[in-house]
Amino acid sequence: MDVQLGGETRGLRGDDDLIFDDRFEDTSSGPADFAWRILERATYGASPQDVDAFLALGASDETRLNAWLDQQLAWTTLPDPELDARLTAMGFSTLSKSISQLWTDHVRGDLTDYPERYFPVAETDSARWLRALYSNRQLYEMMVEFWHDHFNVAGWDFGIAPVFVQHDRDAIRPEALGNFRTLLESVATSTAMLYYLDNLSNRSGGYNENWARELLELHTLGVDVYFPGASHGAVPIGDDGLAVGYSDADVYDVARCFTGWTVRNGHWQFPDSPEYDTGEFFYYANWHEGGNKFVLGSWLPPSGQQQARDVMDILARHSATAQHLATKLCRRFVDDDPPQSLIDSTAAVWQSAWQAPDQIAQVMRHVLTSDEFKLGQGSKIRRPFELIASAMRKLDADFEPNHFGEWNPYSEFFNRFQLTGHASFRWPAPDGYPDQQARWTSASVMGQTWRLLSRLPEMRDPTDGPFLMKVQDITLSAFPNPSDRSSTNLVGFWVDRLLNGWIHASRRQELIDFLRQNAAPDDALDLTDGLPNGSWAQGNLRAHYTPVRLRAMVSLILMSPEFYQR
Amino acid sequence: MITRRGFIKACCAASAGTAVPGMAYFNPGGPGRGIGNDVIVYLFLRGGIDGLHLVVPASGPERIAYDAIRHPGVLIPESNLRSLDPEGRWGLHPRAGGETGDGVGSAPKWLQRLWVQNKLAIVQGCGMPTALSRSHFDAQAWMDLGTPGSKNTPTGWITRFLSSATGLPEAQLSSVFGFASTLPLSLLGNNDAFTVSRAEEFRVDGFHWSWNDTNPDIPGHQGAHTRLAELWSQSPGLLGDKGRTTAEALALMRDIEFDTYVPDGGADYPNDGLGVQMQNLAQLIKQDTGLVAATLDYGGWDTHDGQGLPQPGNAGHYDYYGNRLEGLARSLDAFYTDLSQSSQGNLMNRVSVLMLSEFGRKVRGNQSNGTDHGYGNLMMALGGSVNGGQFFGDFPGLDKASLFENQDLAVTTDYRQVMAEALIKRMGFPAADLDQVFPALGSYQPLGIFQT
Repeated sequence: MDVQLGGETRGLRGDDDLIFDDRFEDTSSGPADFAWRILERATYGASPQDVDAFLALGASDETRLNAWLDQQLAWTTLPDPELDARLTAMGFSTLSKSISQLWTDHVRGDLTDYPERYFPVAETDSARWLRALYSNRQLYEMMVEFWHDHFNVAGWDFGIAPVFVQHDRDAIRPEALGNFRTLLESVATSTAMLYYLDNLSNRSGGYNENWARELLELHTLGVDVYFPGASHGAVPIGDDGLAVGYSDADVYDVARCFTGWTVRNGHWQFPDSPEYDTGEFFYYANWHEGGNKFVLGSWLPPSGQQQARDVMDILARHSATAQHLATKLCRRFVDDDPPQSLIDSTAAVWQSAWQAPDQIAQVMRHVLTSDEFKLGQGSKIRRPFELIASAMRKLDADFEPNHFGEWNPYSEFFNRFQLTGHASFRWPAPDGYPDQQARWTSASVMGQTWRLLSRLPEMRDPTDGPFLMKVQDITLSAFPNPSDRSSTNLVGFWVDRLLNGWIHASRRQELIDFLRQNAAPDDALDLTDGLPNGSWAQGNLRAHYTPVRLRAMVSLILMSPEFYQR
Repeated sequence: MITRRGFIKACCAASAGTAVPGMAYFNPGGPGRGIGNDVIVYLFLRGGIDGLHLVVPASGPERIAYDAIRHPGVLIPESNLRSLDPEGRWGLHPRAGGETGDGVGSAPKWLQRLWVQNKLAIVQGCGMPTALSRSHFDAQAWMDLGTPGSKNTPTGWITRFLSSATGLPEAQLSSVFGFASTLPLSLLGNNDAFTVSRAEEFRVDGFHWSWNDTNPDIPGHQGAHTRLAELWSQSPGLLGDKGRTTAEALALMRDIEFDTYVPDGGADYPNDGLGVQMQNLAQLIKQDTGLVAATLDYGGWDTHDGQGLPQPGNAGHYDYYGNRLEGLARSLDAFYTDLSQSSQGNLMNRVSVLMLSEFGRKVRGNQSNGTDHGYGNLMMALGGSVNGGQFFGDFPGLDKASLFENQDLAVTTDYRQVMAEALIKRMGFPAADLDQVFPALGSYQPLGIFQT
């Protein structure tokens, strides 16, 4: 689909791939390779246990993929015992509070200063890490991340942090594999979103366009069908009777439709009563601008709160919304520049199912059973969150992400992770974290990610407690016989586990050379001397802090080009 | 697309005949090459700063129109403005020249000081006359790419400037620094651009101490970080390029002492994002690494709600916009002081800071004591070679007939003309090649903002 804007025809995407001009293609076809390809791109990383579980699902690649999707898309019936236990063990205090309780405790009550005000968003972030690492519902959690990016709010904003739990729990998560129209309204009534895009102060006689503009531009139709200008009727009408795109005039009228969609925040114009200061969404009819509105080529008669719902109906069934969302989903799971044919077929599923309760699940089944998905690999890079989560999953990390309290390794973790530019819920603009490689391969992002990766295998509870990641334990149990612990074998084992064995020969050699130092590649290294760090061995580098050197070697694999690609 | 086997074969063939790319270590203590080039600093005020809240009509017909149209929640009384011109036509938001407790008549600080000393110029009515978008993301992308109306341009305007300029100094690190956590669009398509959010935190420092740094007392010992360059030496495509750039940058930056830097002239940088970045930039300029361009962002201007009104003299008064503005003004003041009083001479004579935003805001204001997205806006230029203390461009007017779509300040100056003048007069860029940087700009029309 091309659109005519400002005299220039724009395609919806560039065809040329500026990033991977030498993209590798994994043509290996064993069952484990297929499982790896699927899991690396539809989950937060393929651990050996994940691959084994996938392989147990049937007799052929197709059977296994379909069975895996059956499980993942029916996420509510997929047991999640490890995650549940870990969530319980964290003792979160805010994640089950109702919006009015959050409001009472963290906005209005005694706990209104730092850090209490930030507990809700901090605990949501902690839970996010646990879910990415330990949930069996991996595809569902990937979709939750997608929708958080799509309906981004700045979670750590002073005004939003106390109510962010509701945005995640009640607005985003219930419909992450459900129905977009339902999701849209739950987001439109999310207290966090009402704050973030200012609709809480959008009222008759002085409307605020912020939410309306982003609703059209980012959340539904997409900026590719924006026709700049403030006059009605300039946008052509499509076969479905709707305008093919929107103008500033549409933005203004959509804003008027949403006047009165606000928050019980004790505003002075509300009745002076506690029930108007609960933090909940409500429709305040006194602030609603009556009258007809002209939206996307049609008159909407006055209908109070229903008028904005009519707008959302139009937006949810619009073909531009289908194209926009299909493009973003294919970009997330397949390729930065997905093929137009896949976008079109995905958009068709999206649009035909727009009223189905499992619309998004249907769309995801289409995308993840497409040849483009099944046959591709390495066409996406991992953003920092995915990179770190994948490293932790493959290294059996025992992670208790705690933002506050006494010093612990997790505060250092979060400090370093934030510098990668990908910390949870911290993207300031409504367009959400970018999903194209050019934005994640700056020297800053890569350097800061390596900085964290250099630290990750060293992180441990204070005073010689257990390490966060189990490099030593995994290695020793894989090589029970000390004489097998040669540099070549150790590097081979970790390259298999972290990269499915795929690494450039020169890099494999570099890793072996670092690990062996002055030992021969096939000489066994002593990994138990001076546990867990090794010992001072000046003049004989092969024995110089050998367990530490093993951990550093694992870090270096995580910093390699191959680990970036999924 | 090539196959895995083909890829490995190609890489092996390449490695057989090609030496490992050398690491050119930068030596800050070595002999300087002299500050031989100008630096252009592109400071983007993200979110759409309300220029009519920064430089405000103070008398005459524009003030009358301003009073008539402006919502009281965003209307600054004449008596709360700092004066910008002897005729009293224009006033400055008081926080650009003083703290909350300073009255409007107090000694000018920060931006007002630089204006009085003729180092700061204001250009009225700037924007994109050839294209309209009230979307942050479109308008920012168009400006950063330098192609109003199109965001599918594969290169940013700074990228095109650097690739078409000749005679640039050899860069030891990179010709351009983007101070951001992700690649700025103005640098899109530039594989050598350096993006960093805080210079002193840019090092791989997390390994156990025994392998973290190279220990010169142990023969043959090398810190694990030294392996990164080799680790990325055989990797194709742009990802490989980016990894190599990162590895080299880490090695170079490791040698610069950012955390112990002492600014010149008693410059006092705010300890926030912009302040630290401007200090890092000043230090890099003094290091003379061949840097010719830098981008910085200072956001928070999307003031739909509670924009804020100044009460100069009232130290306890909260003013959101004023607080943001003071942060900007303090950083720029420190940057100017630090570089202009450098022991290497007045380096600000070779540094030009250009400030702009994606659009102005609606003149009227909204019911939330804020302002919605508009169109025309001001720009600012700061530097020792700027014809400061002056207004440039035509103010489009606030009367109903002059407003754009009856609601917004119009655009009378294409922002690219201001950029172009800086490139041509300060960076030595040939006017004949301007269309390589700004295609379809049309004729070059300098306003006289910069000295040659």
